[in-house]
Amino acid sequence: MMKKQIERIGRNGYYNYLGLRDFLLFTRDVLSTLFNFYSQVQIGFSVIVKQVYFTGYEAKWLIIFVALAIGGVLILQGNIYLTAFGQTRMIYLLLVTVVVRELSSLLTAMIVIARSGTSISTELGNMVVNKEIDLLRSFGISPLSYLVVSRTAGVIAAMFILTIVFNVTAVLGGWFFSTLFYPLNIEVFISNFMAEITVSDIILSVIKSIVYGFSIALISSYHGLKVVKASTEVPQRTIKAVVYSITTVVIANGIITFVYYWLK
Amino acid sequence: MNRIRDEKMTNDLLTLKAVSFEHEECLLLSGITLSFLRGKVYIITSEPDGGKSLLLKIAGGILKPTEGEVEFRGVDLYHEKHGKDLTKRIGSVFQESTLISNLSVEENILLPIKYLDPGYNYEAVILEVINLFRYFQINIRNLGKRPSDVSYSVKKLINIIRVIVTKPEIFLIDAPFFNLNAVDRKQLFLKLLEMKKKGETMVIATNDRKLIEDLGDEVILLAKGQIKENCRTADFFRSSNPAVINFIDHQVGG
Repeated sequence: MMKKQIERIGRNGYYNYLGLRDFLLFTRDVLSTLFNFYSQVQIGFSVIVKQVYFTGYEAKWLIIFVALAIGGVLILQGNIYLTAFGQTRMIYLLLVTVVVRELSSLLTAMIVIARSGTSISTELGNMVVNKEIDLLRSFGISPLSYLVVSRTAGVIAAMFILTIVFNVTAVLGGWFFSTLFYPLNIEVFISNFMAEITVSDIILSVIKSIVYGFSIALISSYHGLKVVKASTEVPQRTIKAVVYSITTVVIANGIITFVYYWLK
Repeated sequence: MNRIRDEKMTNDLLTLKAVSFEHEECLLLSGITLSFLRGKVYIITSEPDGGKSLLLKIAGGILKPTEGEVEFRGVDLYHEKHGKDLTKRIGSVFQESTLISNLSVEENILLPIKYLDPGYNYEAVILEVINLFRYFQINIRNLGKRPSDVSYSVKKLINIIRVIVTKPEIFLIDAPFFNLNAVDRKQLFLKLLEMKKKGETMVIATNDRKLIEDLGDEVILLAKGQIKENCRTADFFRSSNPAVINFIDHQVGG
């Protein structure tokens, strides 16, 4: 009984190792293709534009809605407790720490996973089943370059833009909800906020958005292209893409935040 | 293309050297050695699941063989640095009517040309496409449609048109009559005949007797992943090889 369990653990560990190695090789190939992307940019550019449109532009209202809600709730909660301690100005520090450094990129990543990660995985999986990947190979077009690298570039660009939109909207939302408690000039609010935010906060947010965008596109593409024969594999692979993307983003968030405070 | 080596005196365009392919511990192709010469039409024929489509995919640079080499104009497609680039000089038509589903029919046709020649003349290419649409009696309006909106028969013809307009050096056509109605078959047959007369190099996987007899210069018979016969078309139908006699009786209708 014990021996069987040890065998099972060993077998699972070995398969996990093989899976990780396969993913790292895929990442290496994508990165090397990324640097040679200019050679196929004439056909991949339209894919980048479409990806930015779908991931970025079409998600704008959802991002704005979530950012407004987050900014509003933060101000609402902050005002109740911080005012009681006479620390109303701390609200700006709260906005910088919670929204700019953490939630903007993290929540944007979750929305991008839900919309674009799933669609990339599903689309590529169906392309494999329909033999469209073989078709691209027959033209001498690298599926990595045409499908993966261009989508990755598109998702990174969209994540970057959406994170900025999230930050700006959440801050403006914060101001709007503050006015419900006391009259507050927007210029005063912005100048107080700017006094708290530093360049390193903005850089942190940008780095996070780029790392998350890269991770989401890479993981979703990898699982989409791992579909082998049947369309029933497509939802299974999509679920894996979502689970691994969320896990990777959360771990990456922890590591980047740790490095940020360590360097500070 | 400066990487392409000087052409050999033998005029070999595409060469398979001891090619084998194994999948899930099953040997599907074994020790296939073939040379396709410029200007000739080759017919690959076999019983169903005999490895015709697999051989074409390997020859077309799409599927790497487990063993052996595939050389296009002397350059190994799978093992040399610029081998993959040469795949675009080979025009593959699959048995299934494959089109990229999120592109329009026109975008599908232009996709390989955009890659092959970014500075291509759009007007000239689209005129050629329209002429081919007219030849195959396909409605021009289909150019703006998505692949899901056109019939299987039209999809198959679009696959062939797409390859014709890219002007490859060799055509690899898998089951050309698959999914086609009688009218389209006739038109396609005449087009293939015209291409043969023009001196195009073609490798066609089929069991259709008319195609074999009227188009083929040489016939290659595959069975159980191996070449059982490789001879001129006239000799194929007179062959005393038991494998060929059995095949003709059962697969191409004597």
